[in-house]
Amino acid sequence: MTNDEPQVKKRNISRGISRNTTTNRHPLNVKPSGNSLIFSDKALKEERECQLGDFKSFDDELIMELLGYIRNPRDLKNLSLTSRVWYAYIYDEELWRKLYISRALKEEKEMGDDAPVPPLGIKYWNGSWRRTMLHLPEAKEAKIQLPDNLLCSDVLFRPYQCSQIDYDDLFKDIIEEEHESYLLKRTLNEKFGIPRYSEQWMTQERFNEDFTNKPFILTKESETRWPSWSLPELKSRFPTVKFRQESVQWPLEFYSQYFVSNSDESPLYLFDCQSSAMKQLVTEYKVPDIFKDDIFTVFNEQNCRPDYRWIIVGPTRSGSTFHKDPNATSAWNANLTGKKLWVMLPPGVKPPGVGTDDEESEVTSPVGVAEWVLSGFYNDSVKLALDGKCQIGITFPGECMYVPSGWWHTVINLEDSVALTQNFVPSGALGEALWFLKRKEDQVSGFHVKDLKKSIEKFVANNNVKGENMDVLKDWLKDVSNKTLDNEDVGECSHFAKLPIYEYFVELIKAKAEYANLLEDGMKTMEKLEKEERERSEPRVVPSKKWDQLVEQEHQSTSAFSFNFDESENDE
Amino acid sequence: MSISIISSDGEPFKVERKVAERSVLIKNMLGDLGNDDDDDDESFEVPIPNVRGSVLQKILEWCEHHKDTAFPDDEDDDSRKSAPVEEWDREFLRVDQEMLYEIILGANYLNIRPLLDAGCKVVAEMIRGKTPEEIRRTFNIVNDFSPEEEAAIKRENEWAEDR
Repeated sequence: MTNDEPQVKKRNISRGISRNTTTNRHPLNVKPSGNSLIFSDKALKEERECQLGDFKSFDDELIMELLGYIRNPRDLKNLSLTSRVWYAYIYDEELWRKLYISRALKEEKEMGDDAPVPPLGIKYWNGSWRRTMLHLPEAKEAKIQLPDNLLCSDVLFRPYQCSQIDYDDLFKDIIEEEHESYLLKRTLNEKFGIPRYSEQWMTQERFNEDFTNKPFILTKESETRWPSWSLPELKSRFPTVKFRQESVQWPLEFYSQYFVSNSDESPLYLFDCQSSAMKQLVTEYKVPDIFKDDIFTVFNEQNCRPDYRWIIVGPTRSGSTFHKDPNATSAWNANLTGKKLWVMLPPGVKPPGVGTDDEESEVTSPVGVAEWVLSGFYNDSVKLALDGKCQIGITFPGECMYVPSGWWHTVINLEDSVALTQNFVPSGALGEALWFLKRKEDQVSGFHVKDLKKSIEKFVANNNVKGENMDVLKDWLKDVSNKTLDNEDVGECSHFAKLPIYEYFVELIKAKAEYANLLEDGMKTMEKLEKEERERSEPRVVPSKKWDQLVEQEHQSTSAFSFNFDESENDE
Repeated sequence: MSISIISSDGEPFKVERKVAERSVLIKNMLGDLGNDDDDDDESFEVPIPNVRGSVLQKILEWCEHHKDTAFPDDEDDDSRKSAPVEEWDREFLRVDQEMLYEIILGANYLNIRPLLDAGCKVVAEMIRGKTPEEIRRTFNIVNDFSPEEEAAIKRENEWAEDR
């Protein structure tokens, strides 16, 4: 590496976080569940039961569940005004957020383009979902207080606690170290930091040869290398343009109000690719040269590429929980304003606190990043990192993260942030993409069936090539020719048996003479990955004595307990 | 296989497997035993320690009626919660309030999602359109608001009502 040998300062920091954080008082004085053990008091219990009335034997989860069936804000409000305890349960933000989103989606579905903007005829964000839905300014809210320990409930307390998380304090050490690295343009954390290189140093050759499968940060080149958009600036340019924030679409004006005052555990994250503003914005930045090498452009040329360019805006505490980028693409992410914490794990290492099935088609993780951090999974990641199985870093404005194909990552906005990101397939990761499209076809996402059909029709008509792939494409066209297609994302229409994306991809690459060598290499990598996959899935038979004994007994004994080897439906 | 479900007060209910398996809790228990065979004459006793006999009987009546019903996929929380209550279920849940709550508690414990849905929707309907005072009377809710708090509640209510 050309970077001069860094002069490492002696550091003795843990980089982990202390979890003994104190939390502000809940706005209505709800206490954590643990308090009920310490302060169990018969009078309090009776009081709570009186206030709950007939529902006194329902536990917190069931009460919240029940409240989810009340679909009208006025009914919810009226129940909340019956007693202090009901007031507190119905103060829960998640409840109102769900109700808002559910009603907004319903409205969108029923009214389409005629739906009011912003949704539900609600023009102002009042600082919370509850107040917003009730059109209630904060000053008019009763905020009925609970006596100490009348209601001790983690179901209510925990989301509030997560919304109060102070990342600046929790990550103080690592922020300091990374900030210094940012200024030096060189990552100081040699144990598990994410290395920094300049755009100039990271040539195409270096990137292709050695860096396609490792995360790194392109350092800040100059004040003008990237746009320095902040939300206020974007708002003044596009106040009434609707952007997508997860499941809702709000004009930027409304989102800005939400952005500065909400206490959501996971604030809505603006992730937009299709707004009219985005069409303008994509012309205002320059993709780093090394990331222009993008094999998925073969789909652009055929008008069927999944969305791949996004503007991302999120307030402090927003972020994405662990995921891999779609279709085995890699990504770059340029931070325009704010700072982001990245926790990244190579393919094959399971992220702490995340459950997946073997195929990784289902991922379960804590609801939000704050919960993930507060539950100790960040510290577990640091432990993994010290073992060389995880890398952690922070990007600052003007820096650009490279996320290699297949890497698990979670991103936490430590500050209000605006970023640009693009998914792409660098030459060096073609094999991974081929493998994914071929072997994980059920997880392929983002392709729109109608576009794909049109595109393949044209391709087949214009290319007089023969071969297995072309046959598959033609068969597929025949198969869909008499089906009505809407332009759904493939992820949402599993009823199409198999989309020939792999075959199409291969043919599109073949059609380009300059990709000939590349395809050969890609195929080799793919075959290697397939072989590894087979080896992984082959059952390793470890003879177990205990098992043999049990089987033996089963054959000999007449006991009622039975394994039913003979009769049971056994697919193997 | 015959299954006997025992209520908290010791009352046994003999049901066929399909009926019992409307309860995901019981289904998983039977699944854990690794027994997929219906034909042999083993018998299982499943104690349900917090549902009393009269309630369990009622719940099993529901399970019997719905033993062949194909309920829509569990995934979509939203459409599940906003779908109307089916007519048979509505009749079935025309019981006194105490029984309704116990059915909900039982369905929750036994993990019978569609029955829990129906029960909660019926409760939500009992709230619909009522004033706070009417809701208190319906569900025996006692409040202890101070006069100042009453005033604050009133103000909040008026503001929210006449937007």
